[in-house]
Amino acid sequence: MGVEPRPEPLPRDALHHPQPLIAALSLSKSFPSIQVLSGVSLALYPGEIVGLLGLNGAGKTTLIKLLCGLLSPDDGGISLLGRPLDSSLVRQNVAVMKEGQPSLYEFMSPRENLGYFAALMGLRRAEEAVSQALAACGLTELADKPLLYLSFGTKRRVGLALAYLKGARVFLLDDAATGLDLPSVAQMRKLLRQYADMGSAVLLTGHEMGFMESICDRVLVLHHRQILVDSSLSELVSRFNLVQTLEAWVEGDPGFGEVLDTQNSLTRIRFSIADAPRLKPERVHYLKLHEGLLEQLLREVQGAKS
Amino acid sequence: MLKAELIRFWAELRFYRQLLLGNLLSALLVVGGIFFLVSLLGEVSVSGLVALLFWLYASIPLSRISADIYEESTSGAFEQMCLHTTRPALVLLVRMALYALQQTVVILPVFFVLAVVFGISWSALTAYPWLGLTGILVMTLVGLAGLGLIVGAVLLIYRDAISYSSAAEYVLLFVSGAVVPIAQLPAFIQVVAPWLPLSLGIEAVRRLAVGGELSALVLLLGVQSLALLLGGLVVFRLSLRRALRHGFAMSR
Repeated sequence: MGVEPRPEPLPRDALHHPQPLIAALSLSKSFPSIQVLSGVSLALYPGEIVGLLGLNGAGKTTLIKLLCGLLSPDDGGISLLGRPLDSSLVRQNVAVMKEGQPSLYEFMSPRENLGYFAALMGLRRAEEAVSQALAACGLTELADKPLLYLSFGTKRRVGLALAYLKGARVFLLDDAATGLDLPSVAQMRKLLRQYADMGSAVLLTGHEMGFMESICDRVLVLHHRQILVDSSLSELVSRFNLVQTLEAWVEGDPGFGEVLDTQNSLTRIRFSIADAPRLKPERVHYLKLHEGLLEQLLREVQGAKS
Repeated sequence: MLKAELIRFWAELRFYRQLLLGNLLSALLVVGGIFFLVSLLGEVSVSGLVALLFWLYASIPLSRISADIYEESTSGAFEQMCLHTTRPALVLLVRMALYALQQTVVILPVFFVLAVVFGISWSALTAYPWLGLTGILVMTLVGLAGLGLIVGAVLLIYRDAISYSSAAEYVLLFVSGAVVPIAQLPAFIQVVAPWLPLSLGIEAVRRLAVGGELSALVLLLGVQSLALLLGGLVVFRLSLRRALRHGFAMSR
């Protein structure tokens, strides 16, 4: 399954992180009627949370499946902990949570699901490890209820607990926050950060840009079969001149920003976050984020590419 | 592997306990109905009833394992399993063994109820060679396990195969000689039947009770079952390798 990596330079400065946990080099993958990925390279380092962005059908799920060996590349190679990817390496070091489904047994409780996979892995002192993983993910109280009766967010947390149980060095989450309510998102953010702080690398995809922006140390943008952007958020801001924009309904004419609409004495404006101090709070009726950094980035990348 | 599958087995049994009861009832009705029709044609015998009950084991590779693979491939649990073990074929074999035990728990009460209903005497029951039957059953189950792996292998690649697996179970009812002895079936079925472990098992069970050359048949059954198991392992391995290259049928 694993393909010997070619002696090509890593996509990031290797001086800071001499050893990526997982690295993909020049990956290409096509299905009978479509080429999904072409020459994709990436590396994930210990302690970082990396967001993989892209439109629907951009190839994010395919890339995740390649990284965990659930698909084989047509070309290129993947190394895990410095060795060519193979199934036993993946089994010990990679955890995956699929989009939508938790990829677990619905008729089994969280404890039974974790117990099942612990037994498959041949984990020693499995019961203790399962209890620890459940507690770490705040699942102790729901540990014995079948998954079918649990909320979507709780099921996702069981997926996280499985990664915790496995002690995986690399955690791949497809559509990480889709369908989660606010407390679940907050809990997932906390768990993923804890997970990364333990020295693991997290790669997550998703379309909730606010969530991605709040958690990712680095962002990859997959577009037209290739990774077009691989940068930290701060690098992105300066490189693409990204500015968060806000939208507000204010009384009268505020004298700045782009006027979108007027109704009676109210004006709807869009303005850069840098102009926010110019707002007079007593005249603001409504204020919201118009476009986050990552939404803007995606728009810029798509615009530039097209 | 066994511990993992035992966890899954008990959880499934607990969650779907009503389904188990439903299976028992439907087995009673289906086998009882067919046995009633058979009894109209000839004499009611223990081996006739045993032959019919043998057929119920065919549901393990054709219905249960295929349903498992279909559902788990759709939900992603099968992929998750592949991420936690390098031997999913072994997991399926252990699972089929547990299903066979469960099916035995369903079959035994069905057998005794039907024996009473159809007036099979106690002496006929005690005189039956149960030990020999158990040996033949185990050999047949080995072959069915191989068949289960082949069915699973097909399902990993072709999702539409699930539509036909249950139908195949009912085809086996007739082709295997469970209802009518193979010798009385149409010629083309007589050509196909000897290639199925269920047919050989059922024929061996008949000969065990009524007499006839048995050792060669049992040897053939053993060889065929082992060949099917090995073939199943090879086919499943190849199919899994293909699925890992091109994607699982249900998750593409």
